[in-house]
Amino acid sequence: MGSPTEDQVKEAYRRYFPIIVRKSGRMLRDASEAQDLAQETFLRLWRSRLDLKEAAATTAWLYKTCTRLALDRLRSPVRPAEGTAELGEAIASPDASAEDRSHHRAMLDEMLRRFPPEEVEAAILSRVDGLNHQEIGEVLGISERTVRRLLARIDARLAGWRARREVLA
Amino acid sequence: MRPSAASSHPSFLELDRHALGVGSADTKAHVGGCETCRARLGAVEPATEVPAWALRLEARRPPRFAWPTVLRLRTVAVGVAAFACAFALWIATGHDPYVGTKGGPEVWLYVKRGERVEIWNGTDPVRPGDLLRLKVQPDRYTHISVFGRDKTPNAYARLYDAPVPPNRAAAVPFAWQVDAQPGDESLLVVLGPDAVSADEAAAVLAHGDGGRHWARRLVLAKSVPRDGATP
Repeated sequence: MGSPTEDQVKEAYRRYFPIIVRKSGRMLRDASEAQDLAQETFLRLWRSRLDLKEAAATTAWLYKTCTRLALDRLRSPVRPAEGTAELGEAIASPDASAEDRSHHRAMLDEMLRRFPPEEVEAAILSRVDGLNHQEIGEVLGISERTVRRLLARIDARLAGWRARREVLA
Repeated sequence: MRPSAASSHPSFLELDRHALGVGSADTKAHVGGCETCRARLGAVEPATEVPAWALRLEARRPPRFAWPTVLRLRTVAVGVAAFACAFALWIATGHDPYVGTKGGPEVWLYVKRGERVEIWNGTDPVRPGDLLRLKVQPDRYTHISVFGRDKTPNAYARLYDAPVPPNRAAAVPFAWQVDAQPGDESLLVVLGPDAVSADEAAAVLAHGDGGRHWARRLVLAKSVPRDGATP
């Protein structure tokens, strides 16, 4: 038996850390980056004032926070390039398989630099984590109608981006 | 391994909740017959060893809200039926129309009817099935108590009771659904340094107590459609 705090940490860690690691791994394919992201997310969870016994509310919070922290990392100028192409591919064309990695990395860069963050967050939750509109709304604290609008907008932006690229090519 | 938005499989969020014991019955039934989802669940490796960085963490501050139990709310026989629907009603944080005033607490009541969420304007009637959710700016106060009208005339029953962070707007993590019983709905919100009883709340509302507590009553007219009419 440890101190009460140590016991609480152990319980929270065993309960939530594996989920955070998996969520991080879906966004950042680099294992050590994903592990760093998971650790940062868990630290934020611990410092939050969430009631960790409320698993549904806690998981929604984790999905939101982990997604935003991942995007912060991806926007960092010193981020590693490896593993980012898959995320761009997942957001832009989840069923595509033949397009080249540099194309998707460039697409992700474009999204991070120019697209509104809430659109990218919604797209990640939809296309990487498979959340439906209701779940995305719950995680981001917005209505289903807003979710639909965000996803439609990012699709339109991506279509425009592809069209410009084809013209340039 | 990656589900699409249109996938027939539950999302990773729902699978994670299932693993934590709070998934839906539908998910439980799906997972029972779906090898793909069982494999996804099995891919989550349990955390066996807690690393040193985690063990060095300091004690947590207490949760912001002490969530009342659903059972407790169900026992309250009031004009509004309480139920836990933290997910059914939410407030679009990016579109908060509040324009604050200096000095003193504020209370907002959000009404969700179908897909539409609006701030109650103080006069429009509510309808059976509407979801009501409170948001407060508690100013210097640190505790909120919410009461609904009891069956007994002029009596209140407690609906919600929890600490709140001072000087920060916060939504009550529950919504109440308007029932079809005739008569107005009434919510009594009391802010203060601690919890108050229903009698104390009624007294604060009627006479005040020198500023130790702050009370506001919201009386909502109810429009009950005739049988067969669409609310």
